[in-house]
Amino acid sequence: MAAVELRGISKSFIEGSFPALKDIHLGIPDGAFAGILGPSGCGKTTLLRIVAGLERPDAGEILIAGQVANRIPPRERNVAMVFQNYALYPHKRVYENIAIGLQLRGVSKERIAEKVEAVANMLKIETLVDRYPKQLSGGQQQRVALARALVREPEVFLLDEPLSNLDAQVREATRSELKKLFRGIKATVLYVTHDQTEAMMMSDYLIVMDRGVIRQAGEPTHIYRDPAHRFVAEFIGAHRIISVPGRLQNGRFQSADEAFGFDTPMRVTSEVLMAIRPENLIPESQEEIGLQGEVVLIEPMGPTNLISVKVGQTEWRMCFARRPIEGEIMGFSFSSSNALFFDAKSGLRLKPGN
Amino acid sequence: MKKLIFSIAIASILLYCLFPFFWTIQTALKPAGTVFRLPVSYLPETISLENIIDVFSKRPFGRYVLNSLIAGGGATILTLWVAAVLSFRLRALDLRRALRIQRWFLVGAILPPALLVIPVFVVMKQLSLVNNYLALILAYTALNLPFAVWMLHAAFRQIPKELDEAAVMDGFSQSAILYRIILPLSRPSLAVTAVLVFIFCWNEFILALSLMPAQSKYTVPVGIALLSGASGYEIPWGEINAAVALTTVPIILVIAAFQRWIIEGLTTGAVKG
Repeated sequence: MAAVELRGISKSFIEGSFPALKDIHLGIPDGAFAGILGPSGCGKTTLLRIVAGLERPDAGEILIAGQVANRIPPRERNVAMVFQNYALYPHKRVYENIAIGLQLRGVSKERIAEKVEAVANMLKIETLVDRYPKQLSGGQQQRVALARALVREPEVFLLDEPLSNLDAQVREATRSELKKLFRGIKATVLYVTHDQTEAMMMSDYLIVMDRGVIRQAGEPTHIYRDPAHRFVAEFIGAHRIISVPGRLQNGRFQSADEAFGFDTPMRVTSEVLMAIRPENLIPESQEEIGLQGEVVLIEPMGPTNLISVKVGQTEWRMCFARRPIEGEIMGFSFSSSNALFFDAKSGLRLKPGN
Repeated sequence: MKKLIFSIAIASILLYCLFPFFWTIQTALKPAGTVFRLPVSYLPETISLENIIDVFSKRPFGRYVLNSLIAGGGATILTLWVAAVLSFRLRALDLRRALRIQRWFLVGAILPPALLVIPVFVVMKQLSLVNNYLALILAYTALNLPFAVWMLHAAFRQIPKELDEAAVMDGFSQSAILYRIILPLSRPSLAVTAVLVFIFCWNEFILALSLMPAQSKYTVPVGIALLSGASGYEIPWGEINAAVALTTVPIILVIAAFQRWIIEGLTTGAVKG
C-alpha cells in the first residue's frame, strides 16, 4: 500500500502566474525513504507542505494511508514535519519542545515522560533536555527538531532540507545517522533536498522535480543509469554530464560542430542532444569511439584530477589519475552503448526501440 | 576635550529636563507656610510631610489614584488584548496588504483627542456610561489602538512563520499560537507598549474631565487641576505639588518593573532591522 499518494495535484500561488505544481501524480511506497530532489523553485517544498496540510492544493487529491486527506487539518493528519530552520520554540526548554505535541493530544504525563526519554536517548540528546534552544549548536537543535517529530510516531515524516543549515562535516555524519534511524523504525519519509548526492545516497525512492513537474521517479540507481529526461541526466551525477548537440539520421549521430560522428542503434531522425557521463569516458585509450583534443582545464581532486578536453565546441570532462599539462593534446574514448540521446526540443529521452 | 563638552551638554539637558521635577518635589516637601517665602530657597531647610498627608487626609486623593489605576489599567489591558488579536490577524496577511490596512488605523491616531471630546461624550451619554469606568476604558482603548497595533504588528512580524507552522503540526489552535507562542516571544514589545499606553491614560485630562464629572470619579490629573483652596483666591501650591509628585510614582514603578524588557524592546528592532 502506498503511504502517501498524490492524484493530479496542482497549485499556483498567484492567479495566472507560473504554477508551482502541475498535475502531480505520485505514490510513495509504505516504509520508503523518498527523496524529492530538484533545484530551488521547482515546487518540492510546496509538494511537502501540501502533504503536511500547510498549503491547500488548487486541484487534486492527497491520500495518506489510503485515506483522502484534503479536508483533514494538519494536526489530525498523523504526519510530522522537520523544518529547514528547525522552528523550535525559543521560549520553551528542549523537553517541552519535544513533549508539546503529545501534551496537546492529551497523552498522560507519565506516558509523555517515557516517550520523550526514549526519543532523547535514541538521538543522544538526553543531557540537553533542560536547556533552551538557543543554548544548543545547530546539530543539536536539528536533533531536537527530529525528536519532536519522532516522539509522535506519525504515519509519515516530512523533512524539509533538514541538513542544509549544518556544517559540511556534521552534515555528512548526520546523513548516515538519519538513514539508519529511519530504516530502524521502518518509517515512511518524504525528504526534500536540492543536493543530488544527499538524495542519491539516502533515498530508496527518488523523485526528480523541475518547474513544478515530476521529471522522473523511481529507484536512485535506475534513475542514474536510465534518465528519462535531459534535466534528470544533467541534475543527477557527481560530475555534470557532458552533452553535445547534434543530429540523428539513418542510425548515425553527427555532432552539430562536425567534430565527430558515430553509428548508433537509434532509428529516429531528429535534432538531439547526445549525453555521456564523465565516468564513462576512458582517457588515453582507443575503444569504440576515439576522440582527441586540447587539455583546457585541470581541477585536482586528490586521488584523481578532473580534466577538461576541448573537442570542437564541447568541453569533455573526465577523471584521470595522471596529471597532464594544460595545452597538451590528449586522446580518450567511449562506448556508444553509454551514449544517451535526448530530443532537442522536448528534452525527452530517445531509446533505440522508438 | 570632546568628552568634556559632551558631558557638559548631557548635564545641561538633564538639568533642563529635571529641574521642574526637582522643583515640584522640593515644593511638596516644604512646610505649608514657607512655599512663597522670599528669597527663594532651593533646598528646603526643614522637610515636612504636611502637604502629602493633607492631600490624602483632607482630600479624596487616594480615591483619585484608585480611579486612575482602574481606568488606566483597564484601558491598557484591553488595548493590548485587542491590539494583539488584530496584529495576529494582520501578520497572517502579506505585508503590503497588512500595511495598507494599518494605515487606516493611523488616521485615527492623527485626530487630537480634544476634537473627540464632544462626540465621545454624546455617545457615552447615549450608552449611559457617563461616570462609568467603562467610558474611559473604551475611549482610551480606541485612542491607543493605532499605536499599539503599530508596535505589536512590527513585533509579531519578527517571529518566523515556520514557528506557527510547526505549532500547527504540533496541534496548537490559532488562539493557542497567539497566547502560548507569539505573546511570550513578544514580551519586550508588549512591555514597552503597555508602559506607553498606561502613561498616556495616566496623564490624560480632557476626556477624564468630561466623561467622569462626578468628584468621586475624578482621575488624578482632573483631581489635581480642581484642587482648590479655602476660598477662590487661594491656590494650595504645596498640596498641588505634593499630588503631582505622588502622581509620578506609579509611572516610575512601572518603568522600573519592566526596565529590562523595555530596553530589550527598544533595541531589538534596531539590531534586526
